[in-house]
Amino acid sequence: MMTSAHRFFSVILLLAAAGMCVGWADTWEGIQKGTGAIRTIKADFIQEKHLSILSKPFVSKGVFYYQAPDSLRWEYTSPVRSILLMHKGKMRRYTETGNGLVEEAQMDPQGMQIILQEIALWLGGRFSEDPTFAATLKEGHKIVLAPKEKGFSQIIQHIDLSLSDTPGIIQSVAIYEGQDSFTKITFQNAAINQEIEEALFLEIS
Amino acid sequence: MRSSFLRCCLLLALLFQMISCAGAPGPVVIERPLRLNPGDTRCLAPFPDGEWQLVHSIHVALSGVSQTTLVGVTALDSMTGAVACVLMTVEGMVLFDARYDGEIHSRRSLPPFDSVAFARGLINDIRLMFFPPDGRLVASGRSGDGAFICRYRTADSMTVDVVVHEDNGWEIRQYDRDDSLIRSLKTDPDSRPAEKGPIPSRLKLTASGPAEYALTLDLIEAWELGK
Repeated sequence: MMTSAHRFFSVILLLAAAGMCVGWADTWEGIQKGTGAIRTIKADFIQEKHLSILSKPFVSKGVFYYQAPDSLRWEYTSPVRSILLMHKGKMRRYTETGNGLVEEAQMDPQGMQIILQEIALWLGGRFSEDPTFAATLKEGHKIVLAPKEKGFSQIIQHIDLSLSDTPGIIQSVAIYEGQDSFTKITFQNAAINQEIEEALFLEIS
Repeated sequence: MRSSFLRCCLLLALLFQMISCAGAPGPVVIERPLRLNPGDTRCLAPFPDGEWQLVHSIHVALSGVSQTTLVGVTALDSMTGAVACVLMTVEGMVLFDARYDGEIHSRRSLPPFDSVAFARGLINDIRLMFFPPDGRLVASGRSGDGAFICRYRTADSMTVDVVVHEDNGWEIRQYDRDDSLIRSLKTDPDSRPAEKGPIPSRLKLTASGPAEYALTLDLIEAWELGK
């Protein structure tokens, strides 16, 4: 038979569990508060590209740096080296050519420019400011972004964000282009609010 | 900045449509002809057998100027001749997705990669790289430098030379009806690492003519299905 002490302890455990569930990622207010405390993030990422013609996903790895409000360095380390820099509204892209990393003077990473601008908005918790996607908060620490323009949904059907238990941190992003084509980016080893030199957003070295 | 990207993509798309012939070199001279043998495996050495899934990084240069790097995913079946291909940015944004089974079926094509001519040009390039030439063997033999050559004539009167060099490097040369070189595909000697099977680690495709482009394909992954 359960004693009063046991009963009390069980209730405490239940309340603690409930408290974990009603966390920073369960309301827009909580999300804005959680992201509002973020000044910088550095994290590793693993990107899986799923395609119907591939029996297993194509995996890329890299690291990203974010500094509020909208500076990003998105760097692929393997298998194809590539660095995207976004700082004060300007964006540059460098790719491996066999002669080291070379800036693409004329070519703009079409889709990724949109995604990087989106990521900067998400990390800042500014979902209501998003001109491209309408955000819906779902159960399970998940935000689903749907294109506001029907035409854009032919490029990206929807984006699912999974939020980490750590306030302000996105655990993974899944970008769905079609039923059998999507990109999943999982973030690891996130370091929050550590000093990041501004030069990282300006230069590739 | 985006308009520059679109202009450049448009140029690349146009190049697939514009490949022409002016002033390009003609076929390699076969100095020591051999008896025709369509089953000669030396002619088929550059082409993978079976079902393969390949992932390449593709560096694009237009008129000798470095432009961008894309990722190409290709699925091949040597038995049926079927091809499926996806062209995407390094970040995974799919720009072009099509299948070929004798006809081209486009599943996704973002402008400016959305023309029939671009799809046809891309599929032709893939078939040139990975499948034995369509058409009949019309000559074979050795060139002055000892390379083994198989010459095919296609139904539309194009000529394709499969040239296997003594150092194991090989090239495929495609000529138009006037015997001017329009495409050249080369691989480095000994560029087939054992762990990746018969697929070369690097392929260089050059399209000659007034609007030139060059693609350097570096192999990232190669899976043979059923193995």
